[in-house]
Amino acid sequence: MEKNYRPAKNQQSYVLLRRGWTVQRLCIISIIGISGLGLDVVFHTLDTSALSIVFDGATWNGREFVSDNPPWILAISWTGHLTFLTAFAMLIVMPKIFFAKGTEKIDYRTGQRWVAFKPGRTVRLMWLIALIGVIGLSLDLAFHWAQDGGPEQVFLNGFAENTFPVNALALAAHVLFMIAFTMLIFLPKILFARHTTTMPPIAT
Amino acid sequence: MRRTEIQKVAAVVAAATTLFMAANTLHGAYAHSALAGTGATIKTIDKYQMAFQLYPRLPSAGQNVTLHFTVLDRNNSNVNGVYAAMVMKEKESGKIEAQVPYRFYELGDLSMHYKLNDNKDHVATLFTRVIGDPKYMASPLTADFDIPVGQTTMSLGELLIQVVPFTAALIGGLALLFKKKNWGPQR
Repeated sequence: MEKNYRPAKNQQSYVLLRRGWTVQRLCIISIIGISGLGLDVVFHTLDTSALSIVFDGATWNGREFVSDNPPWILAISWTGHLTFLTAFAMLIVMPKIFFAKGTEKIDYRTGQRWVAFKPGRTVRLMWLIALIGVIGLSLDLAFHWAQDGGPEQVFLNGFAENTFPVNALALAAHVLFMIAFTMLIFLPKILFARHTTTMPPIAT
Repeated sequence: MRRTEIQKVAAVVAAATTLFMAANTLHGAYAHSALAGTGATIKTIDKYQMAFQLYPRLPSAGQNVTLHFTVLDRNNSNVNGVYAAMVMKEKESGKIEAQVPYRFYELGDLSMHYKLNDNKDHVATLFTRVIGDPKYMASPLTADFDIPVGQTTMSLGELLIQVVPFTAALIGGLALLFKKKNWGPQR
């Protein structure tokens, strides 16, 4: 990816998207992620309760949260889940908060699109959101490792206690969610071919 | 064109979700007879299956719990006419905390209530004498079921005291990030 310079305050920052990518196509990642999240809510509701989407490892018994885990494992659970849900919420609103509306231009020589960032938005800021996602995911891995004895439980959560349909639901939910999440983590690399402060002349 | 692609992805995902929901409805329909997937602990003794479910699933000290037992025959049907008794023990010490004497139940589907006094794991032992089965009328079917009693409990208030500041810091940090203009050189 071509490096660039700090834009002046009155300059818009332009990015060249990789071939086949558009700002709207980011919504596809969001749809995959939201579907994963939706299926995960259904899975947790069938398995224990919908609250487990945040407070995994603890069960609400109508009066208080109860768990076989010590408090530090529960703390890792809810901090991890809240962190990656926050990063994920950022992915969902990313097209709206990062890119200026109506700035997309197609270079017909290559079929790639130039698009302008909103003021104050940069690729580095996008990497910071990816970092929040990495922290959230690492905490979730640590939680499942501590609770269930292995990081693979991020995918296989609840497998031991359930039967085929619920297990399939859990696996589908976690795979969809992880696909969206992996794409979020590497999004700047996946999405951008080049950055520049001014849009070069293009064949439109 | 782009909108069509998004619509296609949304349609595929919606179809997949519907399929999974349908699968789960089916699952619910056969779950009772087979006991699989109900979350029940199942013990097989000879030609009988004894299942145990606890409500609430993870109780804590001072709570009234319902112990639900099901005795099924080899055809996964409820056994008709049983005498059942239950002994509640503390798991670690083996100390007997309570005994429920034999009582007649028309079906092998019975519930008992018990109040847990402390946050220690318990074991419920069910003794079942099956009417019409000479072997298990003379000596009862015996099965032990673990009752994990919550070691970590946290009220909603206690949890919110931790969760709210953390969430506020997370959202506040993000708001600050987005407020700061010109986030360094483009990389």
